[in-house]
Amino acid sequence: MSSAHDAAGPAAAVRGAEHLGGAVHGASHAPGAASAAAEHAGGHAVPELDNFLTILQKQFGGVFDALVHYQDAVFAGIVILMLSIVAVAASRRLRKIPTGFQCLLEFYVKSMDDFARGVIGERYGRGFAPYVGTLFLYIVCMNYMGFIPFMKAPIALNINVPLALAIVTLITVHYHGIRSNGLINYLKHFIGDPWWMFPIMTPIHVMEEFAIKPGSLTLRLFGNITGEDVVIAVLVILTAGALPAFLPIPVQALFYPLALLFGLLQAFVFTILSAVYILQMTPHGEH
Amino acid sequence: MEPATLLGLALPLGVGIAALGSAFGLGRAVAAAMDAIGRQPEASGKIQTAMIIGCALIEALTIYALVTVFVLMGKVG
Repeated sequence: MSSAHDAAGPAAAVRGAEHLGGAVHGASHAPGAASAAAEHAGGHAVPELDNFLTILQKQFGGVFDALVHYQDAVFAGIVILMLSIVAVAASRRLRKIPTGFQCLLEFYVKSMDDFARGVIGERYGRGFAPYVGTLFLYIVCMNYMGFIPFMKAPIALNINVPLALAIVTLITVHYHGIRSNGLINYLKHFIGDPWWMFPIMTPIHVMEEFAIKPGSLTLRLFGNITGEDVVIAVLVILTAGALPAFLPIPVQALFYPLALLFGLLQAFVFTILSAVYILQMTPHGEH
Repeated sequence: MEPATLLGLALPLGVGIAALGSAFGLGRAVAAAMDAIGRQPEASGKIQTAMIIGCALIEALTIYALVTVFVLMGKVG
């Protein structure tokens, strides 16, 4: 770890490029200035606001290089910690007749239970309510991290976070498919309806289940949240750079209502599509 | 023209064209859903859920173009 991150400059400068899955550019035209130019372009290819980790890195360097490299894990961990603390604190002293905060959380749990049973069905729905509810709350909180000053939405500019969520959904869907249908019926699902069409239908079904569904879930969440945060960053740069000093209008504030709506909507879309994919794996005629 | 210039022209235009197609699709989908809710207000919950799923699938096509832009934006320079 230490020797790998001693070369701190390049590791930090390529950060912006690595977030997008390694779109690091080759050598530019002048070989002498190639490394500096490539580093510069890599760091600033997509405008990105500073968060408290990058500020600390600019001040102190050292241990913060590693933290900035894994900053999305840090911010996702902050979200997980916050949600865990809220959940533990709210369920510490449960009352038969709820008051205050317990009321709010019970309302959330009830509505997620209703949602899961409404989409997935009475038999299996209740079992998936915790998964669906956690997914929604987690994604909403991660999306809204981008609005807190000196924080960053973990999903923005890092495709690994939505990919991990999509893989969790993929595993859940197929585990549920095997458990509720049995292995034979689960495999029959891939053959399709007229069984003699299987040379064509099986590759299509396998591709749809294992590549297209997780891929579209990932890219939809990643593209929306990244787009939002990049627009906010561009507007902040516009505010800081283009407006005269006596007119400090926060232009990005005009975009915040739309971004708040999109953050909620994309979390809901991810959740509802996960629930629908689970529904498609439940045995037919029982939902 | 330089490749960077071409990309700088093509990337926003590509997103614009993708958004145009998505907008037509979304318009049709939402109009049909509103029509259905108007005919059967008691089924509005189910119709809304189906509409949101469809809208997400349509809108994903624009997002693919946007992701392409993010990937290639570093090459514009």
